[in-house]
Amino acid sequence: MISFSHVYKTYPGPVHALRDITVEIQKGEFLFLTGKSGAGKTTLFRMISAFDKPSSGQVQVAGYDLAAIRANEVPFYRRKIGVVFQDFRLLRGRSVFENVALPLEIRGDRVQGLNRRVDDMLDHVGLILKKNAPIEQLSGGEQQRVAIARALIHQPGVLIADEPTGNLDPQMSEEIMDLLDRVNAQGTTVFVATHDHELVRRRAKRVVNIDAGHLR
Amino acid sequence: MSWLSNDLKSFKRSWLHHTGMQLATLSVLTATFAVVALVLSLGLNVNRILASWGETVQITAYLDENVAADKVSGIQSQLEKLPSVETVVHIPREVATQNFKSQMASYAPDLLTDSDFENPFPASFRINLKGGVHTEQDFAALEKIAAAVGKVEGIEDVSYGQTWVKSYASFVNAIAASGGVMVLILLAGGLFVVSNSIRASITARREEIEILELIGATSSMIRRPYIVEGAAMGFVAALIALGLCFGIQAWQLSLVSKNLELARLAHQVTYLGPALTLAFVACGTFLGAFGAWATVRRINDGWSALQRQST
Ligand SMILES: Nc1ncnc2c1ncn2[C@@H]1O[C@H](COP(=O)(O)OP(=O)(O)OP(=O)(O)O)[C@@H](O)[C@H]1O
Ligand SMILES: [Mg+2]
Repeated sequence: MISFSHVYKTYPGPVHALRDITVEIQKGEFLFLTGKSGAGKTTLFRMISAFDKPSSGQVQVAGYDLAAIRANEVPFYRRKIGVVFQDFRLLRGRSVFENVALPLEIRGDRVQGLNRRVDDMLDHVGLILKKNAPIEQLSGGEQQRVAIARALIHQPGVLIADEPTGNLDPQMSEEIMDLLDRVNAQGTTVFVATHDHELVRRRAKRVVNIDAGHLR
Repeated sequence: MSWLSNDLKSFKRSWLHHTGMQLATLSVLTATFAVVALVLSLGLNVNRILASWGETVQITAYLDENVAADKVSGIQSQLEKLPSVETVVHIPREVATQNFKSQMASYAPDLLTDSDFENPFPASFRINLKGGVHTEQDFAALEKIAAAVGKVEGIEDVSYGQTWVKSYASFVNAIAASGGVMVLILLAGGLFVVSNSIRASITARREEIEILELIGATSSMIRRPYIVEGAAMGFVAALIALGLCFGIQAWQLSLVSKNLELARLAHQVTYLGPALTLAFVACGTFLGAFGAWATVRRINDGWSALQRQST
């Protein structure tokens, strides 16, 4: 589903953020990416979400060649993946429902089917009662669940999450990880970056560690 | 849910967030459009009035004093056969004198009764031309006809207000040119104001743009609400500006028509017609949309999140 082959990313400086990254993630797999701050986790995720291109090497996700993708194909590629961030990235001033519905609106879904699907998804993440609440009134954990719901509403094959629990307390973090577990159990490939080693140990999943741009 | 209804929602949000900025932009744009509409209307009216003057340009052909009375009608028919000549009216000596006296009556009443007053006026033909004189080309044609008239046997002199007509033609050209330049400058200013306001909207909603990119909105989806916003601003400004322009014109006409000497002028003044009004609103809307488009085109290249997302 996700495949990196000898990927290098060098920022001006030069900063060697990624060096010779080769990794394969199977369809339906759950994978953790750990590493110290500045190790290159976000850089690697930016390759996957097509916000940046590798300096050299191959990145393939869901059948797209991201090293060669054209700018006008990028939006359509992004509709095939789900992305979750540490800082949630929700639209302020809009309700939970509006935020979760956004990917479907962009895709051009009809109102009827859209309403039902968003309701189902909010039910799934346990936020159906907060459906019409503005984003500002939610706790961090609730906001992250909205972000996950938005990342999943269009049923992507892959969900990538860059430190999704970075801003949450341990209990909230566990709840979010449980949710990601359930998502994975339903067949979605999940790739999570975190530096919370405790959390990783408790989950017993495949783990790759990145250190100064090298995978090991 | 259609993306267009989203455009409108987004427009509403943008208004609620920076009402002050939007109002300022709208007023500047309205003022600009109003001046453009006034210049347009003024130009149109001046042109029309000048054109009606141009219609009345005449050639006066003075008869040689020694031409016998029985030759006059022969000369007249010869003049009538010249190209572009519409009518030829013979004005005998006595009539010319009479005309002069009655025109002068209010300035020099004594003249009418003065027996010493000698008749200095020759007999003449007043020649009206087909079409009028509105452009420099028309003027060149007029000169040609006048030359032909002068060659007719028995005509001593030809007059058609040579210098007046010439400066009139270049005056019309100058008015048109300076009006055009002024309108262009104003429109450039309007474009700048719209584009500034849209830029502010974009900056205020930078994060939203990034998020939309993130979940797969195409750049045209992201740009559209701003273009709709610019178009709406242009549309509203053009409507208000036209209202203002009509109001100002009506008010000035009411002032002018109180003055007896100018009242006749007031009758000749017209407002912008329905076609021009429509075209004006369409142009205003287009200008707004264009200003917005030029701005979003530069700011949102589909990769704006790239610039910030580095944690
Ligand atoms: N746009 C950029 N320009 C230059 N250098 C960058 C850029 N983005 C990241 N870097 C550098 O690349 C290296 C890897 O950064 P990255 O953000 O991938 O680390 P990270 O593992 O996500 O760290 P954290 O755990 O703190 O989020 C760092 O040294 C960083 O300074
Ligand atoms: Mg990071």
